[in-house]
Amino acid sequence: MSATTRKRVAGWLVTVIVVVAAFGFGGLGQIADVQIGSIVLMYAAMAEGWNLLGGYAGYMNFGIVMFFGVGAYTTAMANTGWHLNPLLTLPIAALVAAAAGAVLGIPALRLRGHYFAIATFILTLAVQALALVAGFTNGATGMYITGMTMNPIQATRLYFDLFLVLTIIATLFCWGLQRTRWHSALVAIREDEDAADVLGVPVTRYKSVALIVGAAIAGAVGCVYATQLYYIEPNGTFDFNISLGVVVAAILGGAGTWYGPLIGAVITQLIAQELFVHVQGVYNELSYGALLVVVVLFAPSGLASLRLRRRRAAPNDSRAENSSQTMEEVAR
Amino acid sequence: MSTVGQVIITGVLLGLVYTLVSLGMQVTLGVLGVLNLTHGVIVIAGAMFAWDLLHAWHITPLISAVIALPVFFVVGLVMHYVLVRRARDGGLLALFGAMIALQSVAILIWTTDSRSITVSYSNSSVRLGGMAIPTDYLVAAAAAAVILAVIFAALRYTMAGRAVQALAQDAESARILGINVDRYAAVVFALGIAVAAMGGVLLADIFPFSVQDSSQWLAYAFIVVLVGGTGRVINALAGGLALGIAQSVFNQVLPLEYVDVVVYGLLAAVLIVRGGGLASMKERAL
Repeated sequence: MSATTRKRVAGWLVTVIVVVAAFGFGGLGQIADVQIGSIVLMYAAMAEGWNLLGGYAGYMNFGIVMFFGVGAYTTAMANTGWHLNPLLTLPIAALVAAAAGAVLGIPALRLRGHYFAIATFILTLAVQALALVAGFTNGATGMYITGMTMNPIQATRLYFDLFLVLTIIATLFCWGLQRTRWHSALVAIREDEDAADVLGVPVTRYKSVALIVGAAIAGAVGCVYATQLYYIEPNGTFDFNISLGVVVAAILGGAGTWYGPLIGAVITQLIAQELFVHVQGVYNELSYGALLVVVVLFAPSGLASLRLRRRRAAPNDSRAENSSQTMEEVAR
Repeated sequence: MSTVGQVIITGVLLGLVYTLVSLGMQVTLGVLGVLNLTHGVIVIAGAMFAWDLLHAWHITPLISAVIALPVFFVVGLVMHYVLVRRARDGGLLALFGAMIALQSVAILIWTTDSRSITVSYSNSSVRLGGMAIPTDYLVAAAAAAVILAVIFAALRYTMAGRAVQALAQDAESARILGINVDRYAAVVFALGIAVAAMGGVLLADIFPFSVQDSSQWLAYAFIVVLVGGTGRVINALAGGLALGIAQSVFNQVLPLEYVDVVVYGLLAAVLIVRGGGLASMKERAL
């Protein structure tokens, strides 16, 4: 057995063990822990979805909660309108969120850098303001989701498993993406969009698809979230803090890698849940913000990169080198 | 007829105040290429500053606006030194983190209560040919106009102002021509913060305010930047007046709860229409 094969087998083994352990935890763990685990996984799945555009292509999307909320509301509306079991609406929620991604995101994608970031933030405010007054969302009163007749403990475990499956799908997507030309194209866009465009990378298409897939994942997560809560209303469902949690998780862990957002979500949400138990919400946000500042100033590529940086002491910026390589690769 | 006149005049007055509130963000973005996400929090901090001064020492908001300038200038210098100068991507993420952290700090200091400032001219109005113009709008708009005129003149007619313009056009050439780019960048950022706070002081004069409103003011400032473009004071004025008049008209014709939807919706429309042009806006500026 060669060294690489051994390494690959070890990698698969670790993955299988982690996944089995996660499902085992969902089935057997203390119910309070499982509940915290669901929240961690909810953010992990969305952070991976965000990673497609935000991490690889470097577009800071502060509006992921729009798609999450659209998914949640789709579930609520399908549930009230057609009396569907809320979990059966998951594909519809994902599709509608993807459509919302296309409608809201593609015009915004014409903006670059800082403009895109703030535009997604304002679009979030617009969507929330709309949900607060529109008739079909039942305004500020909110909507109830009915039809889940399970005992609460079983239900908690079920939602954990669903979030876990979504996280696995999203992670697999990022992992698989890193082995395709799409990855090279998105990284080329991050490094220099104009150059990538000139070299023949269809930048708009790649960016749009990355955004839409991320939106679909967020929509599916929103569906499970709504089902779990039984009741949604605009202020909580389109809460900017959800976007914030996703962005911080991805950046802290290391955006642009398949494992970074996972690490980030676990760290940030475990900290957040601990803080929620012990201190008020304000301190929670305060520490979030401070954490982000510290990470951005002292470990700009995320915590996942710290290990690599120590091992590879080369001072030159490996990112820039990669990009010229990848750009040639994409252009071919 | 008098209703139309009143709506327009109110819109113009509001627009002048909005211009001042947004100018800091516009200049920082146009000159330094830094998008100051803490802008909204600073605006609210300025409003709270006016409230505190009024209640502690009975200082009227117009004087508070003058006091706010040096105080928040120092705040801006510190923020530039700690956050912007060290960060890699123009400080977007560092400022984002700072926005969240500062918002929570603001809630800890000032709580989430909504406040308003009542001064001698708060509930009166000036009659003008059948139209009733609220005096507090007039006072705030006049103060905003004076501050805007001073900034305009300073940018245009002083050596330092010309240096700032040179910086916006081409930072590298400016450096070669002997402009201390680092120092000017710090000063521009700090002035942006100080002007935002002064805008906040004037806002406190006319609107109730609370810490949660900070994202609304961030959004408004961004709308002004998007509509008017970056670069000159005139750009900000165009954006500010457009926003003020639009809001004043919507207030008249729409139920109150729809105003937000329409304002943000208009922004989305502007994004779609101007989308491609925005990326190149910074280069075209000044």
